[in-house]
Amino acid sequence: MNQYQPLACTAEAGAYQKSWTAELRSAISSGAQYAFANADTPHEIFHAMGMPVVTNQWWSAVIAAKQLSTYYFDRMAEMGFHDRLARYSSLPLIAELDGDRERQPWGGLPRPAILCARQSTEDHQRIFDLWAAATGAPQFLFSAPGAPDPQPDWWIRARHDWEALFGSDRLDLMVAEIRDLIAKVEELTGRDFDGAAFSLYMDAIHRQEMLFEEANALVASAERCPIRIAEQIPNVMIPQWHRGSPWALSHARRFLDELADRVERGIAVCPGERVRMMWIGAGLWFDTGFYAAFEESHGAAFVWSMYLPFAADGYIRHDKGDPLRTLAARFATMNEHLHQPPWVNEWLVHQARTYRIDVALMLVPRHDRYSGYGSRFARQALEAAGVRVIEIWSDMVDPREWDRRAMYELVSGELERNGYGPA
Amino acid sequence: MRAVAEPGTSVGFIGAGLPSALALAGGIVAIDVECLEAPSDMPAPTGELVEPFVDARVRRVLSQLASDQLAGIQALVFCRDDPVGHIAYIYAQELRRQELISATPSFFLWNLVHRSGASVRTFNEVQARRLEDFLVGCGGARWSAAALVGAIEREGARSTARRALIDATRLARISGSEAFLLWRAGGRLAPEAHAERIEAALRGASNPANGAMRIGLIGSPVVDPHLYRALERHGRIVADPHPAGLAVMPSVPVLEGDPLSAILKAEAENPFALRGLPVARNHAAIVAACVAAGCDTVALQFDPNDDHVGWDAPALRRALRDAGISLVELGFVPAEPAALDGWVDDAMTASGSFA
Repeated sequence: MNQYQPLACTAEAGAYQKSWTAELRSAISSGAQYAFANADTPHEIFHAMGMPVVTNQWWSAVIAAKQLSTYYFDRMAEMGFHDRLARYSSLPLIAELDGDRERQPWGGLPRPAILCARQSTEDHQRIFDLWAAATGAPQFLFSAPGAPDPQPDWWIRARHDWEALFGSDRLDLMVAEIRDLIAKVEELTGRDFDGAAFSLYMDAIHRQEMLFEEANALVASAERCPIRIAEQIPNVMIPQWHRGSPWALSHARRFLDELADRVERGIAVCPGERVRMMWIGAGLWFDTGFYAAFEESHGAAFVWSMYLPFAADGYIRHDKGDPLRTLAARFATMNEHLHQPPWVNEWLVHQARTYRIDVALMLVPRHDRYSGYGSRFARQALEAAGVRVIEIWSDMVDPREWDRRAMYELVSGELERNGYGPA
Repeated sequence: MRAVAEPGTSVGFIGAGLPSALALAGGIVAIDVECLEAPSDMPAPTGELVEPFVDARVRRVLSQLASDQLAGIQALVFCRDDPVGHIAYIYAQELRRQELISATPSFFLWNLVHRSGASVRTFNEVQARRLEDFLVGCGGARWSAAALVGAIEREGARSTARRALIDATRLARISGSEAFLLWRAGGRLAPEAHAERIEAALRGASNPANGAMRIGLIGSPVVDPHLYRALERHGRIVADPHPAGLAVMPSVPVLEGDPLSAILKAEAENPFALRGLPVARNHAAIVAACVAAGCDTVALQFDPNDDHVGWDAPALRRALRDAGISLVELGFVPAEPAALDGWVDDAMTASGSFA
C-alpha cells in the first residue's frame, strides 16, 4: 500500500479557496463586485483595482470535480444546444442558465459585475454573450489576432525578447484594449487605476512565478517525483488565481519549501518509480484519482502536468519599464502556446526532456477542438524524442464518455507492451 | 482546374475577410482556393498529422498544398478571422516548417480584426500596409489613392450584380442552387467578368417559381451546392445568410476621405463576419435576411465539427419564431453527398414541411 502523504500546504490551498469563495458570496451580498473571466485574460487589472475574479475554467473544474457535469450537459441538450460544442469553457454558463444555484458547488455564483474573455477561439464570444444576456453583466472581449510568424522557442524568447516575439502591432492593440478595460473597471468600481501601485503588483507576480520556476526545477530534477500532479495543480493554480497577493506569494514560498524538504529527504510519490509519465492537456477534473492509478501496479507515476511549468514559462515576462505592455506580452498568445504548433510540440519535447519522461498520456478532447488541434504534431515530436505517447480521447469536464476501467486497461496494456510490466 | 483565371499575378486566399479591392488596387487577382480543384485524399504524411475533427474545408486546402495543387499561384493569404483560414494557417505553417509541403506559394496571415474603435482601426491599417508590402513582393503595385478608388468602383460593379442576384433569388426568379454557384464563381473571377456572368444568367432567368415553399438556409458555412439541391427538391432557397452565403459580403465602402480606411471599415463592420461583434447584430442580420426574403421556413444545419454556430441556435430559433417563420432542424450535415436527399427529406417530414 502506497504510504504517500500529501503536502501540508495542499489542504491549506484548498481551504483558502473554499473560504475565499464563501467570503466572496458574503461580500457580494453586501454590495461588493466581482469579475467572471476566462483564464487567458489579464486578471491583474481586476486584482489591482480591488475587484475579485472568478475564473471560468476553475469554476468549470470545480463543477466537474463535484460530479455535477453530467447533469449540466444533459441540460445543455435540453436547452437546444447540440452535443458537439466545447464543454470546458461552457459548463459554468450552462449551470448559470439552469438557474438552480443550490445545485451548484458551494451554493453557486452570484451575478458578476463584468464578464471578460479573449477571442482566442470562435466560441468564447458566443459563450460570454449568452452569459451577458443571462446575467445582465457587461462583457469585455479582447481581440486575438493571430501570430504571423510563430517561433518554436517561445518559452525562451518570451522572457526578454517579447516585443519582437509577439509583434509591436499586436502588443499595441492589446495595451489599448487593456486601457479600455481599466476605464470600464474604473467606471464600475468608482476607483482610479494606480499605475505606480500596479508596477509594484506586477513585480510581486514576477516574484511568485520565479518561485514556481524554482519549484518546477526541483520537481523535474528530483531523482523520483516528490509530489503527485493532483497536488501540484491546486498548489500552483489557486495561488495563480490570486497571483501577486500576499497570500499567493507566501503560499508559493511554502510550497517550494515543502517540496525542497521532500526532495532532500528522498520522499517520493512512488518509491518504486520505474516509469515517468506526463499528462498532456487540461486536468481530468472529474477523476483526478486516475493520476495515481498506475503507481502501485506498474511503478508508473505522473510527474508532469502543464500547470507548474507554465506558471513560469507562460507568465514570466521581464518588465522593460511599461507594466501594461509587459502584461500584454503575458496574454497576447497565452492559450495558443499550450495548444498550437509549433509552440506546443516544441515546448512539450523540451519539458519531456527536462523531466526525463518515458510515457505521455495525451488528452484529446474532440469537442474542445482548440485544445485538440496540433495533438498529432505533438505526438509526432514526442515520439521522435523517444517518448511513448498514448492518446486519451475524452474530455476534461465531461465524464459521459469516460470509462475508467477501459482507460486503465488501455494504459496498462501500452505500458506492458513497452516493457513496463506490473511492478 | 489550375489556379490561373485571369492574366497577371494571382494570389489565393482561404476564408472570408479579405477585401478583394485591396488585391485589385495592386493589380492582382485574388482567387478563393476553395473554388479550385482538390485531391479527394490528403497524401501521407500530412494526412496522419491532421486530426479527424479538423474541418473538411481546412483539410481540403491542406490537401491542395500537400499535393502541390496550388503551385500556379504565387501566394496564399489566410484570413485569420474566419476559423477556416486561421486553422489552415496553423497547420500549413507547421507543415512547411517541417518541410512536409513545398515552399511555394508563400503564405500571409491576414489579421484584420472585425470590430470598430480607434485602436482596432489603427491595427487594421497596420495589417493592410503589411499586406501591401507582401503583395508588392509578389509583383503587385503599391496602392495609390486613385488605384484604391478604382478598385472600389470595380468591386462596386460586382456588388451591384450581386445585389441583383440576391433580389432575383428572393423573387425566386433563379434557384438558390444556381445563385449559389454564380456567387461562388466570383472567387476566381475579376469583378467585371463576375458581374457579366451574373447579369447574363439573370437575363435568361424569367420563370418565377411562384407557389413553391420559400426556404432560408442558415447555420454553418455551406460551400457545397449539393445541400442546396437537396433542399430545393422541396421548394426554392430564397435566402441563405449562413457565413458563406449570398448575403454575407460587406457593404460597399463609403468613399468619404481615405479610401483604404473606407475599405477596411466596410469589412471590419460586416455584420455577417463570424467573429464580428456584437453577436446580437449578427443574429439580427440573419433574421432580417430571412424576413426580407419572405421565407416560409428556415433550414438550420451544422457542420459535423461545428463548435461555434451551435451556440446561436436557441437565440435564432426564438427570433425566427417571433418573426413567424417555421424552422426545419436538419442537424449535422452528412459527409456523403449521396446521403443528403434522404437526410433533408427526413428533417422536412419531421417538421411537417415535406413537399
